[in-house]
Amino acid sequence: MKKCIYILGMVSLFACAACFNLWAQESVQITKEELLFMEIPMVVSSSKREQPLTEAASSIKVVTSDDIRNSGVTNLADVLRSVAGLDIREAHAGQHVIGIRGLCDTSHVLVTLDGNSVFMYHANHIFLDWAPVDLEEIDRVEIIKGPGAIFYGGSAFSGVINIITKTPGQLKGTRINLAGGNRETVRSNIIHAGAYKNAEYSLSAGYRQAEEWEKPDIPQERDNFYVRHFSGKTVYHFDDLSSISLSGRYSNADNVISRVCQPDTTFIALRYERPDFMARLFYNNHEKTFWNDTYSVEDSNYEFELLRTFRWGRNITTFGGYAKRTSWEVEARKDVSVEIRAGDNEDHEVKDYALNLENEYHVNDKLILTMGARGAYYSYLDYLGLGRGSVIYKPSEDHSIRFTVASGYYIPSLFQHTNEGNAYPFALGSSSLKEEKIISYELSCYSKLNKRVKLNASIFYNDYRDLIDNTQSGPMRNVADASQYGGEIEFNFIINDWLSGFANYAYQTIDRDDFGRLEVDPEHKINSGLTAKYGKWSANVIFHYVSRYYEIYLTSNPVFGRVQPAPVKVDAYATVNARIAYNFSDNLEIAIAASNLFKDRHYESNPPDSNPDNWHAGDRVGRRIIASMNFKF
Amino acid sequence: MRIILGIILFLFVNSSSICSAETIDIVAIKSQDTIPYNTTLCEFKDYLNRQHMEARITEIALQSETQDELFNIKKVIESIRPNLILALGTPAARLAQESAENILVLSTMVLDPKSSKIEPPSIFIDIPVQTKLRQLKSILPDVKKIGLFYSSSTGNVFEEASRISGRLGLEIVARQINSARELHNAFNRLCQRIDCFLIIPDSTIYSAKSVEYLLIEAFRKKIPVIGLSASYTRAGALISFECNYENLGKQAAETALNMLNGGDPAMIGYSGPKEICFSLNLLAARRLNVKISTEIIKEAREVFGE
Repeated sequence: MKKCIYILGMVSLFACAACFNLWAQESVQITKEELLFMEIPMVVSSSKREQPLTEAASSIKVVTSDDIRNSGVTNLADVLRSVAGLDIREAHAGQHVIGIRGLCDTSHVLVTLDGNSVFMYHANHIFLDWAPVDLEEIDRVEIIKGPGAIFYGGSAFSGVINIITKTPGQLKGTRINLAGGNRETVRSNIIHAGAYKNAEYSLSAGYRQAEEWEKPDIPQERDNFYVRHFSGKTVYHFDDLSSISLSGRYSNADNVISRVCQPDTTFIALRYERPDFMARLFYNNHEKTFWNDTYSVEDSNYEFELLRTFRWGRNITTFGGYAKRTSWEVEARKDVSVEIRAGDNEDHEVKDYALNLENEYHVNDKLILTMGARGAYYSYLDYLGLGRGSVIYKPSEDHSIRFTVASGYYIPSLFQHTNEGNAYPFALGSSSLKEEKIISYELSCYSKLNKRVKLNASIFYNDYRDLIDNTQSGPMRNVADASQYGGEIEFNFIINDWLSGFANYAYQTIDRDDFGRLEVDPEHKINSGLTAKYGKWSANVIFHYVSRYYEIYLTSNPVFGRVQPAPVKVDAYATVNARIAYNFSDNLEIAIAASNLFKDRHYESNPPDSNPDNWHAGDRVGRRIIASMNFKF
Repeated sequence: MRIILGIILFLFVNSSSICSAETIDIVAIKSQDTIPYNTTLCEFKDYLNRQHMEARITEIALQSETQDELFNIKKVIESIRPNLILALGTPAARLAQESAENILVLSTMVLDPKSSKIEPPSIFIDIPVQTKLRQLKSILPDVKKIGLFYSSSTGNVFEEASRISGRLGLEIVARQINSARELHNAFNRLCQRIDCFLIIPDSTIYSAKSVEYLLIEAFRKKIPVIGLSASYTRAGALISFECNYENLGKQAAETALNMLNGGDPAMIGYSGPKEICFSLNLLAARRLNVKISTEIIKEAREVFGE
């Protein structure tokens, strides 16, 4: 208790000190002539260097709100299919899993919402399907491929997906989005945002549902998946550059995670930021019942983070501190066995503290060197350290080359570390489980070939150590090392004023101690698309191809671990998505979209044919056609 | 005959001398006590001197625009009863209009006097956007797409720019925003589609902080910025167009003499600056890999970052 008060006091003091200077600088409306003659602080001098955002130390891809709208899909995971190097698998209508450059098992990619982790830490799930945010609220998605642990910590193993929502200023007014289609597909939301003096606010509520692709295999499964979500955000601007925001999000879902779970999710975030400083407090809570209310699990996570950027000489230095406390509890709500009775429970807590430091040194206008390190303390794992270094060379404005070496670690989930089986007898954990490790080497280039064509290409080599065997019965063990190499190439092209497109290809192959060179993730993926905008009409068509792979861990429920009795083959598949829309005005758009237009019924996860008794099997994904209307006023 | 010629000559000489012998009282009200205003006023005085005009000029610089200050200034004007009030800047012009009963008022250093309800005669300092675009085209011939932000109060500037850009082989990529807070996100989205960015005078969108931030972001993305005045160029804009303030002072003095000699204020109307100049930041040019010819550098009124 004393510790909490002390920490709260320090935080308050720091926050006050950071804010103090800004109270005096509240912006005042000036006249046009004052605008002409006012003094502007110098931003260019012989000693200052500017840092283009594109010169990042890691490979970053940005998916914009236009990309999301033009894709015509109903969930964010499907939007990300077009990104080279990303693996997306649909097990059920309400269950997509994500991997970056393989390891497609929901847990090795960190997904954040406005910088706040959306992990369910008890099982390291990513749950984009029932995240309390809808597509129309998203401004952009930044995908960082490769270990991003310097600033994001131990869950950013393969990469980071950062979902950035629109500000209330961008959402100003009221928007109603309605979509419905076959298979009882509904996606609807209402968003309202406004401003009063220096404050802005936004409110949203939404509902989405879809019929599952196949009938239930067991009584615990339901026919339809649905999500209800609500959110609110207020932002107060001290001046044009600094602000404080408070946001809350809630979602309630049904028929997810092997179609047997009903989770409730709550986020509350407080954030202060200005261009050179950020402080945030974040709380997320997940509660779910599953298996027809046989079990309940709840995990609560508190995070605090500070980040400060300094410019000095030719350097840009970022320094940060981070603290997290996560607790979880599992309870049997009914009699399960002789050993486990209704009311039996267990609870555990873990803490994570970290400091990170990264420096960018601009040798000259063409060469940038980056070095960074993170030191962390984690319950059950003690002290961890990692680093990242990169060299960026820009021979001209239209070309850049980057070489990056980065290390990362994957922190086992709370289930994997602490589940003793006192309430939930499966997926037993082990406190002696070590973290998984990765060292990644990547060479990438960007080139603007001419005014119409841009090229991005990269090759990488990843060295993995102590990969965890996620067995159903447990206990968990570190069982395997692996090496992986691959590459991606992407073209973005403009054909004429109204037609543009993209094409990308990704390749990866992995050699594991436990599975050898088995294609545990697709070796080949191709995506391509065309976008046409002519007057008030717009149309989009996207093609995806995924080569065959062998699933080793259950996509539908990673907690349950290994597919039994052996890795199961998933055949190659190809899909085409299309969308056509008409803008009656700036305020009204109507569209029709189809995903899997040619109805290539296929499995993306654990086909049941190989094991008809396996109720964790994925569903055969079919075609979805949706009509939508977006109206704002 | 000689007597008549003599009388005529005497009257002619002395009619001029009447003006020069009689001291004219002028009250000059400055909205700001800054270099451009002082340069204009200084040249105004010098020009009158060169015309052998005896002018007693009382200078007043507005400090805070409080009611007390405005009251005091009105009192000064009433006590002096000047022949003419020279108002520099919109706040000064408004004050002069309120205070001057039956006193000639000439305003200058004002932007868009009509929308600010400043009555003629007035010499505004708006640089027509077509002038800026033409100059830009000659200085940076490779530039094709020019980004700009406008608000509901400056939509006319955007329309004017769009109208003439085609003739110059340029394309305006514009976005309406409502406040400086939207500037950051709006610029991030706009910068990928433009070759340079033009700041237009709009206090709804711009402030010292937001301009500083815009200049930083523009450098990060290698986008040249066209600023509003030399202070912008010094801060990091590649180039800024503005009036020649000495020339403006001379123009104001010519207009004042016209008014004092009986010129009809309504006929004099609104007029713009006769001479435009520009300033360059060569350090910014080097950083942005923009080539500026030696001839252009020589023409610049001020050059920073050499």
